[in-house]
Amino acid sequence: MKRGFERWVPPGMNARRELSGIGGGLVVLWLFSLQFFIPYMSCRNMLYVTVNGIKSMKPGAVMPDFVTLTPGIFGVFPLFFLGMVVLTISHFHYHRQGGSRPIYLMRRLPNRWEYWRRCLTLPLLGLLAAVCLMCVLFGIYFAVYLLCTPPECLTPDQWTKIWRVVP
Amino acid sequence: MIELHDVTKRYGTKLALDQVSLTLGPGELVGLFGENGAGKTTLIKCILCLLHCSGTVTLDGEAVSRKNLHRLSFATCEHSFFPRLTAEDHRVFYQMHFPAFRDKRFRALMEFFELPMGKALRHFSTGQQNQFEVILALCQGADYILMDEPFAGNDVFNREDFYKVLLGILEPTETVLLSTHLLEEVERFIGRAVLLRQGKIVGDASMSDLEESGKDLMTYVKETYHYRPDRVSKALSDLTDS
Repeated sequence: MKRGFERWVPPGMNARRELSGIGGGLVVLWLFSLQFFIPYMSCRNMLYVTVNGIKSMKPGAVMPDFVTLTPGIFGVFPLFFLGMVVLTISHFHYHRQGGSRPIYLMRRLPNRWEYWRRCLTLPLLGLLAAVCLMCVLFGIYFAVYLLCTPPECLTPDQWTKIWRVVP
Repeated sequence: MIELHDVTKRYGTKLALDQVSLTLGPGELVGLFGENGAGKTTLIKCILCLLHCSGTVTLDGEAVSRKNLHRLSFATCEHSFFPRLTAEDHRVFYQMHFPAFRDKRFRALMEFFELPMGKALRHFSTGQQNQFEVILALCQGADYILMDEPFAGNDVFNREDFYKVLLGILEPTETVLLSTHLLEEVERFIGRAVLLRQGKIVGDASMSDLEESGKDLMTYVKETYHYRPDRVSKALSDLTDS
C-alpha cells in the first residue's frame, strides 16, 4: 500500500488523480475569474476620451462601483463546491460497491475516525482551497480596482458597498 | 465470552430476531444453522454492531463497542475487502489497524492456498476471494471469528481443506461462529450447533450430546424444524394425480 497521499483517500482510490482533479478545478476557477478584467478595462477606458490622438480624462467621469464589476466572476465556484459534494458521496459509496462491502471492515476498525478521515479529507481540502482562492482573488481584484483606477474617478465607501451586497 | 441477551431486530414490520439470548464461550467452534431468512446474518451483524438492535450484546461483560470490537473479526460471503487493493496492501492495512494481526499465519495461509500477494483482489476468482476473506478474518488477531457463509462458491475439496486448516491453526482461546447451510460438511468440525428459525433460537446442542443420543446433525435439525419427509412425495403425487 502506498503511503503519503494515499492515506487520505479510501484504500484503493487514486489520491494523486483526485488531487490533480482538484488542482485543475482550482485553475479553472482562477481562469474564469479573470473575466473581471473585461468589464473593468471597458469601464476604465470609458473614463477617457481621445481627441486628435490625445487621450484625456472626461470631466466628471466616475468609475462604476467595484461590486458592479464582480458579478459572474465567481460563477463557477458553486459548480466546484458541487463537485466536492459528489466526490464525498463517491468516497462513501466506494465502500459499498464493486462486489465487496469494505464498509464492514471500516466500521470495525479500532480508530473510529479512519473511515471519516479517508472519505472527507480531500473534499474538505478542496472546499477550503476554493474558499481561500475566492478570498485571495477578491482581494487582488479589489486592489487592482483601487490602485489602477484614477483616484478622482473613484466614488467613496467602496469597502462599505461591498459589505452591503454580502448576504 | 460473548453474551447476547434478548436481542431483537426489526426491519420495518418484519421481526428478524426475536429476543435472542445466546452465549459463546472461549475456544468454542459453533455452527449457526437455519433456513434462508432465519436471521443468521442479522444475528452476526448485530453482534458486530453493524446493525442497530435492542437487547444487549456483551463481550466479557462489556458492551461491544469500538473499544473492544477489534476482538471480533468477520468473514462474509458479501466480502469486506477492498477489491482494488492487493493481498499485500491488505496485510499492511490490517497490520496498521489491528496490532494483534497474525502476520505469520497470514503468510502461511496465503502460501497454503497459493494466493498471489501482488494481485488486486478484484482479479481473484470468487473462490479465491472467499478464501482471502476468511484468511483476513483468521489473521486479524481476534478472539472471536464470525463467519457468514464464507465458502459459498468454493468447491468441496477447497472447503474440506479449509475446515482442516481451521482446526489445525486455531488456538484454544479462539472462538468461531460459523453460519452455513453445509450441515453435513461441518458437523465433524464444530463442537456445538445453534439453530435459528424465524428469528428465534429453536435449538442449541453440543455435538457430543448429539453423538451420545445417537443422532447426527441433519437428524437433529430435521427434528427441530419438524421436517416432514413425506412433504415432497405428497406434493408430487398431488401434482401428478391431476
